[in-house]
Amino acid sequence: MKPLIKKNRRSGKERRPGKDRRKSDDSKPRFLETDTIQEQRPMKSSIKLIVDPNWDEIERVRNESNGFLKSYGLSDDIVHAITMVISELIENGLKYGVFKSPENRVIVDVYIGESIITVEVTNPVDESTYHHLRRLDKAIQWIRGYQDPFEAYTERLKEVAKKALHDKESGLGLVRIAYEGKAILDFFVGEDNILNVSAVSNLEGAFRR
Amino acid sequence: MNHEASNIKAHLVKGKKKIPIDARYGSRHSLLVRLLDVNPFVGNTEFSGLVIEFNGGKFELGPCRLVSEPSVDGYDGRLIFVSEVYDLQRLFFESKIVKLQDAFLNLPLILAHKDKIKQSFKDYTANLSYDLNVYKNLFDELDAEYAEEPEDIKKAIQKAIIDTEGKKFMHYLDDKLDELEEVVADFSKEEHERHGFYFRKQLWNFIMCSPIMKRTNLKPRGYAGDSEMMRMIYSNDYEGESTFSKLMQKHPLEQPGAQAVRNRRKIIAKTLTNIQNNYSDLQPEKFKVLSIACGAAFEMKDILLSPEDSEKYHFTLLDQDRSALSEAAARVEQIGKQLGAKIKVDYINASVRTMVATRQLAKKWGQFHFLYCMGLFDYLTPPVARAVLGTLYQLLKPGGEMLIGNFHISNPSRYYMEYWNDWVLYYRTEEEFMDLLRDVPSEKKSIFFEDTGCQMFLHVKKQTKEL
Ligand SMILES: C[S@@+](CC[C@H](N)C(=O)[O-])C[C@H]1O[C@@H](n2cnc3c(N)ncnc32)[C@H](O)[C@@H]1O
Repeated sequence: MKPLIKKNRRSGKERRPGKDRRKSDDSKPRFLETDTIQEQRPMKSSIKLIVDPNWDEIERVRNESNGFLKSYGLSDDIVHAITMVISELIENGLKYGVFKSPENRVIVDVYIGESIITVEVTNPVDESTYHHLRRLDKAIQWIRGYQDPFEAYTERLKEVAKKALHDKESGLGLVRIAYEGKAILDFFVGEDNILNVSAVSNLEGAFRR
Repeated sequence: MNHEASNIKAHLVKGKKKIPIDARYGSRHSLLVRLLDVNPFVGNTEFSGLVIEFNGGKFELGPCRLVSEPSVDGYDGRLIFVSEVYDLQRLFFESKIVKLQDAFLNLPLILAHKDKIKQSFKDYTANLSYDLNVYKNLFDELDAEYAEEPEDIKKAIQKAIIDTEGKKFMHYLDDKLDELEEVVADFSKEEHERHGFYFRKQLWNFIMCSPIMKRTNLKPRGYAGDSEMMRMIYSNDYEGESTFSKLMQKHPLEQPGAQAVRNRRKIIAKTLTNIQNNYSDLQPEKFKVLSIACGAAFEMKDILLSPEDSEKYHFTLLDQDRSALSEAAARVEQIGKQLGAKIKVDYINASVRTMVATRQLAKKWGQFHFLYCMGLFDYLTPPVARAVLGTLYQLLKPGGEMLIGNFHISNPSRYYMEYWNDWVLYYRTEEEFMDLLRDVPSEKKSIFFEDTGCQMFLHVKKQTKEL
């Protein structure tokens, strides 16, 4: 039999060469509160969008984030996927957020890093949301329990077909983020009861050729 | 309203005729019916439909047949559906028409999912499947040959087979893993996912032979890495019903990824005792230890070796899974009995995803000299991992230390875990792991690897004086 501990096929110290396929583009539109930092590492960029607790806001945020992602040179596929992720997460935020005072909003942050793009959506919650968060925890672990999110998607569709009419929650939104949005979901509740739901997508092949 | 027990107004449809009946839930897929007019039907009679009214709703169901069943008290018979088969439990309790055939809704989608599978991968999978069938038949035939032997003889024969042909089979599996790695080398994340799905569909019956692979695939507790899977990894035994099953169990357990888990268990005990040695003047205060995502806390056996050890520590064990915590408690109790000592342990059933919200957690749980977290960060994406790490840091006493494990991106068992086990981790490079700490003002931070190189550990020491 071969030795118990097999050779490390790819050494722990091996690095993939940094990919910097982004073109510099001075004609990029400027966004409010966009933070573009130039470092030695490939350029990082982010956008913060503040959303009033109002369903009509989704369209505006979709358009703004769409413009931001396109201006960054991302392929149409990924722009489409990330825009879908953003609107699903905002919907989730509006649905489960607790907006008691005027400064309570949904905040969307999109960060484009070296190898991943992260969408973080935050909104205030309170104890009444906790049962939903327990479900969210389970649902996210369930979705991520499949190597192929397609499997979670088809399982969910099957469940939806069987669901009771009075059940408003199809639960398809999260699964779509994983499957169509190709993103890894996660969340935490920070101090001051701010729910942070995030979706992390791989940037491999994400740029327009 | 309990529609299961009560009669419901309904009518059967035959041609243009409406035949009034009383209907009652008979079983999940059949109804008991009483014809309200004179019974013109004898034996099996088919109807083109059934209309039921209840809860203010009208439900039209398809073709059905009345089967006379004299044994059913006061009813003329049982109605079964001959075309679309309905789930009557869902109908009566949830007012929803659900057909058994709904399961086929996704069929075109699933069948089409194989369209983008590469030919080289199809060939690889087909060859593997063929070979595994051959191996399985041979091992099963051998099992049948000595099935009548007394138990101890049977065991000895099986061991002999495992040591000879079994080992050759394990070599074969090793080679096939190397080949898998070559075949999928250039795949994108999405291609890995799609090909993994295809792979498991093709090899499902073999996967189900191995208790650990069955469990990682089915995830009965809703997540990978539950305490039963961990038990199997730690015990690293030939478990299974047949010789083939035993080999299919042992092979994944011998991979570097599994060895790394066994290695880290030892590292916890070693690190913890080393740090504790620096606190020799602590008594009567105890050395406070927190294990986050403790699972069944198998490492307690490595840490608590004497009654004196039991005196030294105050453990807090946290996990999202109550069953894992109960197992941990049983283990601690057993060790306590064996050592004749009382071990101080608190158990917390919580998810790290929501624990961050608790303001001043340190006041609630106290601060710790040492905390460790193994097998959790592999599931947390950067925003969450960063937040959790920040909270854990606050839970350290000044000068306290923590040890966090994460599989490295170069884990050579990655494709085995993903394709065979449907077990996906969030892998990190050292830089990415270290970057999680960027907002944490620690005194010392370093990363080291266990012997297989699969897994790294972030070792952090908190500043002696809090800023
Ligand atoms: C791979 S096991 C590791 C168990 C143990 N640390 C060991 O090394 O043997 C992962 C454990 O993390 C727990 N876990 C997963 N997500 C968690 C969360 N969000 N909060 C708390 N525990 C979690 C699971 O219930 C499981 O017991």
